[in-house]
Amino acid sequence: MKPEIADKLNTVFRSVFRNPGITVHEDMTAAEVESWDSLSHMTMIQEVEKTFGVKFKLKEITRMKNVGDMAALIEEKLA
Amino acid sequence: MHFLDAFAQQVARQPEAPALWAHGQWYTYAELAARAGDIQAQLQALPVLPPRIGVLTGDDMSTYAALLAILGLGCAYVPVNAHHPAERNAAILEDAELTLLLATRPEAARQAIPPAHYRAVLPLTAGTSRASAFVHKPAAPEQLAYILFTSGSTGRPKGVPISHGNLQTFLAAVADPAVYALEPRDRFLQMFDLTFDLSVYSWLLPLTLGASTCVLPEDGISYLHIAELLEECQLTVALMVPSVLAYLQPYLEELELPHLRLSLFCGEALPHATTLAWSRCIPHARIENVYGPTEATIFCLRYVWQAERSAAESVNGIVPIGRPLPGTYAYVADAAGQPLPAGTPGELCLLGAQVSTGYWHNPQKTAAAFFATQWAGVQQQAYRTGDEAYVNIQGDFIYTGRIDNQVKIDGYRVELGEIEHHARTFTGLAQVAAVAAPVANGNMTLHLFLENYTADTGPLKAHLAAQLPPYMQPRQIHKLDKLPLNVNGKIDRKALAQRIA
Repeated sequence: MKPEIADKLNTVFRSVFRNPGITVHEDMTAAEVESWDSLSHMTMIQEVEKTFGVKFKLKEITRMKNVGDMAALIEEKLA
Repeated sequence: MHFLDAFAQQVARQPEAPALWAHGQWYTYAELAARAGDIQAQLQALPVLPPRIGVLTGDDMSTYAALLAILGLGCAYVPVNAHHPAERNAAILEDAELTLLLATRPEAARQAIPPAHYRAVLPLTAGTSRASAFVHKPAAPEQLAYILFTSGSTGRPKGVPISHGNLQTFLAAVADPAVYALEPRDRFLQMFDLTFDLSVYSWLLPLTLGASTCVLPEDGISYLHIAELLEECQLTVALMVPSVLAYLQPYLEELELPHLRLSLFCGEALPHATTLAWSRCIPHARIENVYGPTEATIFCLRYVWQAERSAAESVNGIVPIGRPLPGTYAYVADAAGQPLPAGTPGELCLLGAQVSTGYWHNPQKTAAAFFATQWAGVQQQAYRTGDEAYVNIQGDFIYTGRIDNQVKIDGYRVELGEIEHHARTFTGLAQVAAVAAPVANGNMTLHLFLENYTADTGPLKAHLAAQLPPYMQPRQIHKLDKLPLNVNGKIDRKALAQRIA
């Protein structure tokens, strides 16, 4: 994961999941983060889209298996 | 025909037809029945067959086979969710007097429930077929089929026992070809946790018709996976909670659902505007709003949605809940229980063969909500829903809100009093208020307000997490010097809700 993507994701995750201690990593999933549920997941997706100025398709979201997948997709969309 | 006979008949008639899709795999009627038969053989080998058997909820084929196995032996199943707090699960096991728990993942069961609360966990191991035939004993109408536990305002969940008679009345009503014209080629979405009674429509009904059910995997973090399942499994019938639409809203244009022909909504008020947007994805499909509390078996009123007519018939943007299914009667009553004329709002009361006999081992709560009455010349069981409604000039029921402090979170019933009870017990405070308020997409979230609480809220959060299921956890805890009061001197929940907005 590129450091500039990780930095921005950290900001979004810390704010959406209300936990200043979160540091994202490639294999991170919802199971690891206490307040990551179906509702905050949608808020996180929207915030990520806003932060990076990208738009995910439904299929892209449902196929993301972890934060690494999302970071790769963001990178691809920004390229 | 009894629903178990109908399932057994389908197994004999079309053993190789698809019955259930789980974890990416299709299982035939023969495979599902053989698995159920194996579980029955395990159960019958026990020294005593308990009348009620716990089942740890799961999204795999064996869990569904276990439900069929239990029903077939004439026992009642009681679903227990491993993701719910151990203490809450323990209270359910104690109330239902469960000694045996069936679980695909026994280690999860042992974590989810303190071992002092049951005698045995029977692991549902796959692939050990001894080819035992599926047994289905004749069931008397009063015999219990399942007990589901719903949120209770006094801090302890309430058990709702549903009998074979209740369930058979519901299944016969919705299987009537004149009502839904369901066919063996239909594929049903099963998106519900098994502790939620809408699951019974989604898994059991198709199996009595020779149709199939597709189980939403539990590991999907978001409701967006429902869209994927609808498309990939080419589902034709989908009962969903309206909250799902709020999640799918930004992606509706991307959906291709030519196979979906019957789209039902239940569990929460259905907004007309979101339904209209949804209808554009499925122009060929029939959309219905259905209504019913767990106490009256799955659902018992239905309303056929149609764009122009429903725009006119919706009240405050909310679609009507319609009219009763055959076998159920509904009326609106005043505080004294007297029927009110059309147009006058009051408490919605339901009568008929789908209404449960009352709460499990809880005569006080039963007396407060259930009663027997003469209707259409016969003695009928009746239930006060706590929902406020009135009848419009077309004869459809219009839901206008709750008369108590119950709210719906993603379709789940939540008694705000249950959250407040646990907050009060932990903090020792008298003035606490749980409030539900809508977020940006229109879905509700929970907030907890505490008066004059100086301590850190971390330990309280941990306490609530240990007592309440995830959907009942407050998203935020607010500490105020004083909680606002209304003119009656009660906590002003509206003012608190406005504060959140």
